[in-house]
Amino acid sequence: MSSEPLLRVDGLVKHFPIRGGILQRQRGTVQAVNGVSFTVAAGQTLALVGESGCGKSTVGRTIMRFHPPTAGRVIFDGRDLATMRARALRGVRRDLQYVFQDPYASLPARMPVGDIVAEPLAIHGIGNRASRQHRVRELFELVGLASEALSRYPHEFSGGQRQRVGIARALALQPKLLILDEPVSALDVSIQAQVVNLLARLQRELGVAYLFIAHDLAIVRHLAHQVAVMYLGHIVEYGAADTVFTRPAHPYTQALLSAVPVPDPRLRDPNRRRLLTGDVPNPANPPSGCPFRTRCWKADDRCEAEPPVLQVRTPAGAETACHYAQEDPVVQPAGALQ
Amino acid sequence: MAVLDTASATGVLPAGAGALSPGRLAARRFLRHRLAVAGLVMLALFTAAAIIAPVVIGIDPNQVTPTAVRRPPGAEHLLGTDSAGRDVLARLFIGGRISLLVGLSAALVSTSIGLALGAVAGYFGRWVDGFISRIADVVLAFPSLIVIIVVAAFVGPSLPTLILSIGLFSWPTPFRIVRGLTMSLRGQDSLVAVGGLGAGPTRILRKHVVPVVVAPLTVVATLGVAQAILLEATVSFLGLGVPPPTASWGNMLNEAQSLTILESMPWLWLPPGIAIALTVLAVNFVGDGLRDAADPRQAR
Amino acid sequence: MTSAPMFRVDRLVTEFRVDGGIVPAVNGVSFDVYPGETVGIVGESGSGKTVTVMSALGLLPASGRVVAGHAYLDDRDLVALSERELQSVRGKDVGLVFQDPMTALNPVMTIGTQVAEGLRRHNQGMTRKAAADRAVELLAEVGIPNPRQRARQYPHEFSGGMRQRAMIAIAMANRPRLIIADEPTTALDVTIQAQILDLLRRVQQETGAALVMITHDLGVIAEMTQRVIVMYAGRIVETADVDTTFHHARHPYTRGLLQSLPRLYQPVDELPAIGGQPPNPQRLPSGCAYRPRCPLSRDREECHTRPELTTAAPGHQTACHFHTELAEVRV
Repeated sequence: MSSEPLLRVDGLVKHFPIRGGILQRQRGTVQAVNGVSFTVAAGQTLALVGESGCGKSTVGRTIMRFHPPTAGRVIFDGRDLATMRARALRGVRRDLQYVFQDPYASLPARMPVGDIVAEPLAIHGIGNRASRQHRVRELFELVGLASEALSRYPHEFSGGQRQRVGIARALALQPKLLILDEPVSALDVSIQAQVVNLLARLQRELGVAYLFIAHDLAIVRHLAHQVAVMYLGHIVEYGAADTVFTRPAHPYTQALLSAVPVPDPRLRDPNRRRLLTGDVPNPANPPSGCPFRTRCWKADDRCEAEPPVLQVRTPAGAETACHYAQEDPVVQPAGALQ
Repeated sequence: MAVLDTASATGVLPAGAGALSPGRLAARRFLRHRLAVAGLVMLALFTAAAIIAPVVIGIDPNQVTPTAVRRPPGAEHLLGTDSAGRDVLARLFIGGRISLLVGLSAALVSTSIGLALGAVAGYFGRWVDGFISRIADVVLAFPSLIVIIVVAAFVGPSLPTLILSIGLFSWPTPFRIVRGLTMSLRGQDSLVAVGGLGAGPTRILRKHVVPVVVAPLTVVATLGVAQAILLEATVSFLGLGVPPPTASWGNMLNEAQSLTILESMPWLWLPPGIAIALTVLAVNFVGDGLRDAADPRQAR
Repeated sequence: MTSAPMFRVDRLVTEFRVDGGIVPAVNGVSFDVYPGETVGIVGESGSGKTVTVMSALGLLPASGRVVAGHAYLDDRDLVALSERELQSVRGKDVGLVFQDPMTALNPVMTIGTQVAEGLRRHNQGMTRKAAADRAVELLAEVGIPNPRQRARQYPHEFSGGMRQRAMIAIAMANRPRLIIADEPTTALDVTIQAQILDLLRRVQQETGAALVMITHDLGVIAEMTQRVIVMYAGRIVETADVDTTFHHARHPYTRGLLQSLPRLYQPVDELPAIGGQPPNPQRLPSGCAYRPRCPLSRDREECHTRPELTTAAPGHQTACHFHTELAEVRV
């Protein structure tokens, strides 16, 4: 068995300068990502979850080198992407691809979808026009789009169909890892299930790994093998999906899970919910010590003084960044929908 | 206070019957704009007239007839003759050729330069942008009319000189537009996506920036044509534009410098004046139509 | 609920004029809302759920038109009122909470001023000071900390959750008897959503107002509502109390939707998804709009005629020719 994971992120940091004034001087930094580490094994899915401002999208974009990291290593297939030069990166692009959230904005409006999906092949000089066409047809079939659609333009398709085009394009070069940034959030509920099924099937058939960035926990539960929960640029809990979802140990994870509205009126239980007070702190001015302490019901002086390290603290085996981590098993009440 | 917009209210987009390229949709929107269509028709007529009519009429616009100087409109010369006894109507058509030629060429020069520099400045940003933008600012700061006149005076008035100098002083406007558009495009997902696929700047600029920018640029280009025509008219009116004996609407207007002619011989300056006004108006209408066609509010 | 309905939508039909023609958005929708109850309207894009309510309140964009039908608030038909008369209804008898506070709030007015303005518009004698003070009270009631300071701030200085609280404050300022919330938490993080839903529940309990929740999120429906209206392609396809909707649905769309939801605590191998695409309002299928995607239809003859809403059980209506076949199948 291969020992080295497909992707290893080590201490990734990404800060954005805040510029202001006439001379555009740096007035501060938005600490979007503050030392994040995780791995993705080949053919598996790691989900990065969290709410807005936690930095999960930035992690994805930084790994893709849409902007350079401030610090840290990104070791993909044995090579560190963080310090790679542009030319070498081009080669990596064949193995590491990205699917955007917004199916309306991520496809060029003036190209027929057949050309859009063929573009990665054209960019890397693969095959000739005929063989590319053939490959595009294959890809269309793979994602469940009719081949008559090849000559149509993006605006003629629905959101779910456009997302399939985006996925087809990302798969054209047979990547080993796909980073998906909220790929179904912009879609209708009934279409989300279709695309989620598609992604699961593609992983089974092609063996492609996913870094799945999302805020919808139910969907994540369906696809992920591993989960990392992020808050204010830090990972606060990290482990197998089953463990994190059924025995969350970090207070934020517990609050997050309990906040998800369950689509079953018989499971209405106001006591189950942990309501957090206040708002997420400003990432340009994060709290000292543990970033979650301003909203945490367990917080005390130690939390203010000493940032907790992400490590295994509880029997179930997930890593948590909390001085007082304690598993809170989620009990399934009787009478639930099966 | 409408919180609902039509696109979200109606949900799914109306799927077109067959492949409706964004180009064809834009053309449909243009055709719905009546003034723009009228303008286009007028321009087409003018252009056709300018090309064909001189041949059909058969009168030599440069034929000097000392005996028939400043004749009012009559049977032999439908619009009369000018101070050198040349047929005004024939000169009007030839003048149209020249003025339209200058207008279109100069606009082409300025738009091409603006497109190239704007795309590069907008895409690469930082010092490249800073450098080019400062040059554009300098050019913009020049009183173009005066400089064109000075250049013409130095080098000697000629058609190429005129086209080049107008073009070289008008590129900052299309440059700014292209630069702004490119900068906003740069942040959009569709462009980021292509970069993520491994495309280099050349490909991105060629296939993803330029095609998108061309549409709004056409609007600026048509206004540039109008502006160039007016500039040519002004410079020629002052005698430093299109050199005689070639006719242009501008240098036909040169006649109007004399008070006598202005007061008592309207056939010498009204025709070119009206021609210029109508052409510029038509071009502006077409520009309006193009702007509407390129800016779909409802299609996404 | 033995009293009379306070809000009654009666055979409402709305359409939009677009580039390519007319788009029918609401195709004959009727429902009642009783005092104090919470009703959920659920549907996806193109279902017409938002347009229905916006039509009733005169909030359609210029391209939209109510073609037929009525919307009675007590005895008054809102559809027949002028814009001026509607303005005295909005904010007084009906409170509105929208999805995106940034578009609904005025960006150049302080929050306090906006709340106060809502108060003064519907309370003739109120002085500026009284309105300002009451505004601060209201902001406190909706859980905004440091309300006096916050009242002097602008919307962009508030976080998403805070803005939504401010919207709720404005909506309830004049103690309306009906609060309409259109996707009020869709743009919010899930932990903030929980806070806002909790707030809405509290506001409703304290003021006794009826609440209409428009959303696509079945979880929110399950949490908040007593009665559910399911819409598809501009029509109501099912309406029942919330437990019946989730456990005994008698419309294939409702069933399909519930089955396709990924569940946080019941992971499955493959989600039973509804096939096909959401309907195109301009090109609706003949007969039942759900027919192309319906596993129950099997393209049977009857489905080529549009099904009317029929009563499956007391308080439970569905628009499906074969709803009885669903009675046997467990959800």
